[in-house]
Amino acid sequence: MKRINVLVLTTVLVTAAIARAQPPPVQDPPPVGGAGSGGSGSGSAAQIGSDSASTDVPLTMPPDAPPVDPYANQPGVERPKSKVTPHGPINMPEVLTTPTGWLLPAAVIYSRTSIDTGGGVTSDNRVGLGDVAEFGLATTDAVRERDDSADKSVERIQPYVTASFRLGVGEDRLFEGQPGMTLGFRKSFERNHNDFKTRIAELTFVMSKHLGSKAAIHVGGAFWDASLEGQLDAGSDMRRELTFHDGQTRNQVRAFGGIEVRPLPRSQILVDLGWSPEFCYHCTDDADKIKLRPTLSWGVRYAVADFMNLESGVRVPDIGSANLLDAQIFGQVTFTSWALRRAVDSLK
Amino acid sequence: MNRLVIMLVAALGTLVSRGAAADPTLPRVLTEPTAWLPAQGGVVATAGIDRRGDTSATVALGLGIASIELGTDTDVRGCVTCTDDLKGDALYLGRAAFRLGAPQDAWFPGMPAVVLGLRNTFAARGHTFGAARVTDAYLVASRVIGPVRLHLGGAITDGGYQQVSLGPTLRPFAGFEWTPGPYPKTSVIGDVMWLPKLEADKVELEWLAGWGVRYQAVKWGSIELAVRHRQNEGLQESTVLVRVNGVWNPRESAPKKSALAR
Repeated sequence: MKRINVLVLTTVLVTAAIARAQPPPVQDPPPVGGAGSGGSGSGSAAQIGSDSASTDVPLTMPPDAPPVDPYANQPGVERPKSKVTPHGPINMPEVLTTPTGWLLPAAVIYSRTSIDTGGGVTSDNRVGLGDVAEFGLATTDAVRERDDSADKSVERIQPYVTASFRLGVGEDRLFEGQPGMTLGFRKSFERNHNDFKTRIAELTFVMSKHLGSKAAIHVGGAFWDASLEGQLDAGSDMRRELTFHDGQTRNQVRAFGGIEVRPLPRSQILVDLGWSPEFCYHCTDDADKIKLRPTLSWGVRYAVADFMNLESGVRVPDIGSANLLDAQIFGQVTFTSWALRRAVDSLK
Repeated sequence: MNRLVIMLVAALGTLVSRGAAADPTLPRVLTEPTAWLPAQGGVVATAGIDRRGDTSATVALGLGIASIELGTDTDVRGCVTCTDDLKGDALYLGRAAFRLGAPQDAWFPGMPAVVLGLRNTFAARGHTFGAARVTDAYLVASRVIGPVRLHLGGAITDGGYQQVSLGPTLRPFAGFEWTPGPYPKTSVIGDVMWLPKLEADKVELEWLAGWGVRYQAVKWGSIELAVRHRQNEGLQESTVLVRVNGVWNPRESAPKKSALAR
């Protein structure tokens, strides 16, 4: 009896092994009668428990059907090609001087070059990372310096090289009506100018929301830090370092924002209010050596093409002092490219 | 009396509606700015010279609802010994302007064209006032009323050099262009505006008034002959200038589709 059990078990195992070694037939059985595509691999029609007569599938081949070799090589299945031509205008990561809550789409490259009447030349280059982040390298001319509080000729320190990283979620991604939100960090490399070493860093959180198809609003907050090293005391040769966070924390926090309005299909009016640091090397009080100054900008973005924008406008670096002489008229050109995105998609 | 008022209003309305057919494009009468903007993608260029040999040149590019200008002029003057030197020295200043505005009737019927502009300095050379800077922020309204184009506005002007400056100062300005019916290619023009005058230890505003004639020689170009007087200069130091304007509108220059089809 025991021998019979072993024999039965061996037979079952060998049969199962042989059966598993056979590839399953992948070709659909030919349509028969009114069965239609009920037997397709999609399984959309032949559902377990279905009582519809039209979805019944014969379990065996009909006697007049041509024989099908289940082991024959199957022709390659033509998969639908994924759409690899994303293109078109994007929501810009900056208004004029302040960041927006919109991130660059994945693998989209952004480049902006600007000149102004104050002799400033800046460049900003970024790339979108996975629709949730972006990385950028830029030069800015927004950081300014003066010798003391009576000095009217405030100069700009340029080029001032910064690196930035921003992450966030797009508009309406989490729920309907959700604004685009980004958390960004920007930090400069150390800059040595006139024998004074300076650095800046900025942490921002900003939300952006479209208001209809022709307007958008941006609101955010920034937490600033900066450092200044050099001969900071008049009449003394001693060098020392001063940081912004040595002072009161409320001096480091500022709100910023902007609006965009599109009165014409290719033209936008942009207005924003941001902040930028100013170093005063020989101001008497340490609290006055590093200060944040409000910058008001307004201008126009003109879409020359989907990949190219011309922007021009006015920037008043210290609107708080109503100093018109420091106002700058700027012109800048922005390029966006989907080429890297298309290249990445084509590899998939 | 009521009938007269109604007739006057109707006549004025007719004139206004006729004038609003199309905005002109020149951004300046003689010195004061107008609220006309170049067409989108269009270019307006101006070049001039006066009897002292002082030159000016400006190019404006239309951006749809705004325009940007680059150029140089000698409108601002400076003097070191101002009691002896009435006319002062012409200061060559590189000027840039950004103008944002709306055309006539954009928001409501009868609305004048309006422009918010800022014009400042990006280079200064050829004079003793190192690092001279002049900035005008202005709001101007312009309207075509029959054969006359009127311009009215206010400017906040600041000027200075090195550590000397005027401080923001508000002044009005105005101008007109009149094209008589029998001479549709000719316009009589006039304007008044305040400009900074740089002195050895201070900066003051002085008025500059001009009048002259503009002749529309060709569809895309015109020539102006004008006289300008300055405050405290006296009549003998008035300047005569000649200026040419060119307008290029890409929409008007583009060949028509029917012509291409042929």
